[in-house]
Amino acid sequence: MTASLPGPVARLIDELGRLPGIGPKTASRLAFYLLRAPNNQASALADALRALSEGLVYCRQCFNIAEHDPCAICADAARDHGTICVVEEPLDVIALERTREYRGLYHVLHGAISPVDGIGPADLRIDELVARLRRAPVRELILATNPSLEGDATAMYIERAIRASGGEPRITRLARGLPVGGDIEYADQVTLARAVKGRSELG
Amino acid sequence: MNRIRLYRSEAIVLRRHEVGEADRILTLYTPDRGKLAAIAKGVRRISSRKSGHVELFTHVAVLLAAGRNLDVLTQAETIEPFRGIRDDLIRTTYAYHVAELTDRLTVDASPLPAAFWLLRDTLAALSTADDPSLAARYFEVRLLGLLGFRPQLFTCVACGKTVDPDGNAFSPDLGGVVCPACAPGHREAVPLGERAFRVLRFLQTREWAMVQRVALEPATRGALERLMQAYVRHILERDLHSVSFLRGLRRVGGTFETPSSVRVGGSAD
Repeated sequence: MTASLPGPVARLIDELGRLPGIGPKTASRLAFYLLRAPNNQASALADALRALSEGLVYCRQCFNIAEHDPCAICADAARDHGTICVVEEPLDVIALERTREYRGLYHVLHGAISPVDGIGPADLRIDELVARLRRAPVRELILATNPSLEGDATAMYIERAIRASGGEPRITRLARGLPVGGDIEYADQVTLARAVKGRSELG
Repeated sequence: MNRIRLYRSEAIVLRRHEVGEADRILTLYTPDRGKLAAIAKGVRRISSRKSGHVELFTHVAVLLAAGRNLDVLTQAETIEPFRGIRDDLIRTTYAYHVAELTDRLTVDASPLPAAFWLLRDTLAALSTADDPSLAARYFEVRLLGLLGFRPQLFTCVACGKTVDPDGNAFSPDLGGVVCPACAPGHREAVPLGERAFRVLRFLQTREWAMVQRVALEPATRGALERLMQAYVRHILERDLHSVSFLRGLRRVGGTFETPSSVRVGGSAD
């Protein structure tokens, strides 16, 4: 289909079509929208895309994506540098920041252990975490990996790797239980059992 | 207009991967339909009613709607969550191993009810057994048997004579034991000690209720692991991811091999 189109349009359609969730039809619709849109809209998008590859770095301490190294969170002296929260993805940092409950630092693993998919500890930033704790010990390490089998396996692995290296921080896991707006009738046994065990006093 | 075809099944979740905004594609192993793929919509949302029920390695009752490509998961209710597997990294790793083996050795829509029940019983054993490696070896020997790769442990695969327990070797290429007289002609065969040989036969002929009482010495445990790994590698023509993962665990510290009830940090249970 793209063969009869001018080169730049065909190229744009090809590139857009590589994005997740976008098929050839959507790609050409988007391309023609950009073609007709006011001139600055297309160039603003082009600038944003260029900035993505040129203006982004990984923070050498927490491995979050950032504009500068160290990132704004690691460089913030007002935050609690004695607590590190370990998460799977940069988006999890944003989710935790939105709560405004947490004032410590982060460590982004960029994934979770999944032996079936061939993702082992060496593919994650776990060695870097162990080294970071050796460099600068903390009081508490919060393991905030997803409450799934992969996330649990990752948390258990990290706990053992840190203990094996002689680290002695308090290591905690995010509480688990019923979601807000949930329905007990539909809860699975594992979640409900943990919710009962982790119940808390009212008032 | 097509009527929606719904069907009910028991299933064990072998693997899953994420698609779209909040969906997952599950690989399920069922008794009557064998292995199948189904899409579970919205299960990555924290408020999903299905998500906890379709965690990996859960034995679950599902209601599926037949779709053009993928069947769609419409309801799910846990039958047995195998909690012991989830609370211990070594047990988790062995569960990954048996799931990966099932996934690699079976094809879609080729039902084998005995394999399903073997898988379920093995997951149950892995969540409680003192020695999960024994349950994994039992599973390997039995599943290979069900699928037509039963290791020949009673007669020599080269000359056909009945073998004595001592001095044999195991040939992954020929799928069985080679007697001491034939062993020199089979370079690929790995030596098989008497103890490992007897345990292997025991795994093949006795039920789990008997097998679980076997206490393996570390040397025999290691020999059986290497032997089954070589045999599985020969059949699949590749190594399983879970094997190298287990090796990686051992490198991090000797404490990994014995399953423990140690849980992560401050969790309440």
